[in-house]
Amino acid sequence: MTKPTAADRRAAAVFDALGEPTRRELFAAVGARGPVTATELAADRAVSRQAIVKHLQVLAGAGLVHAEKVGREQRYTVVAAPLEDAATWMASVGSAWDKRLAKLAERHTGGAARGAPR
Amino acid sequence: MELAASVSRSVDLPISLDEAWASIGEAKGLAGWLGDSLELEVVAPGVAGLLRDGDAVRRLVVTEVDAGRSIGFVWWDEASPQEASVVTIALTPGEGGTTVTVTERLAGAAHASIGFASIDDLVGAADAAWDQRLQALVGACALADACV
Repeated sequence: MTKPTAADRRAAAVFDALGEPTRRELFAAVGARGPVTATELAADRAVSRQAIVKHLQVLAGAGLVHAEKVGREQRYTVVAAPLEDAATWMASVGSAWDKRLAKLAERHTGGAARGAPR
Repeated sequence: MELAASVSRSVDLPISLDEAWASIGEAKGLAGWLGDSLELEVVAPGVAGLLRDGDAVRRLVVTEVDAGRSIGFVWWDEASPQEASVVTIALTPGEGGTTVTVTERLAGAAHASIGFASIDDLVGAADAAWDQRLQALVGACALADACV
């Protein structure tokens, strides 16, 4: 078991941000449309521009979107790197459980292959 | 788009549910495979424990127990309580044995799933549980006149 790293903390922020269905949909929409403003995103949805801005700010806080000021509005683009942190967290946690369950299997089977985690 | 904020693993053991439960639902059973050592009096909701594994120290609080079937706990690295995650370990009968399924879910709001307003409240509750254990130990020492 290793200590949480900065990447783990970023992964936690990613899961937090994408744990909300509206934000997941907005993240996908920003990715699909490229640089896009909250006003443009609000035009296609039954969600207020203000609510969309709040969701985008959470996504930006997790590093999942980048905001660039253009005129009076911010244009948002997707940043994919934090997703790698999330994937790394899942691989790390999965590996740790593989080891623990292998110990459990060894206790009960003497290490027989049937006990291998899956 | 779906992003699963959880990890799940299973293992098939050629033992009965009761035998498997001894490794899940009893503190002594959990120790030795969950980590290098586990300080946990009993596996019961609200009981706090300390797990050492290598150079890592994790705190945990048992959140649910379905006797003979499953346990749940929240745990976190001692240095990073903000990254608490929720773990469930469930047993299901299978062909010729028992399947153990573990799910760990990372959630910034892990504390909320077990009724705490904030992670600080959860850590505080865990601390209080440890304080009670230490006080009980001090009391036992005093009674036995064995305190140094």
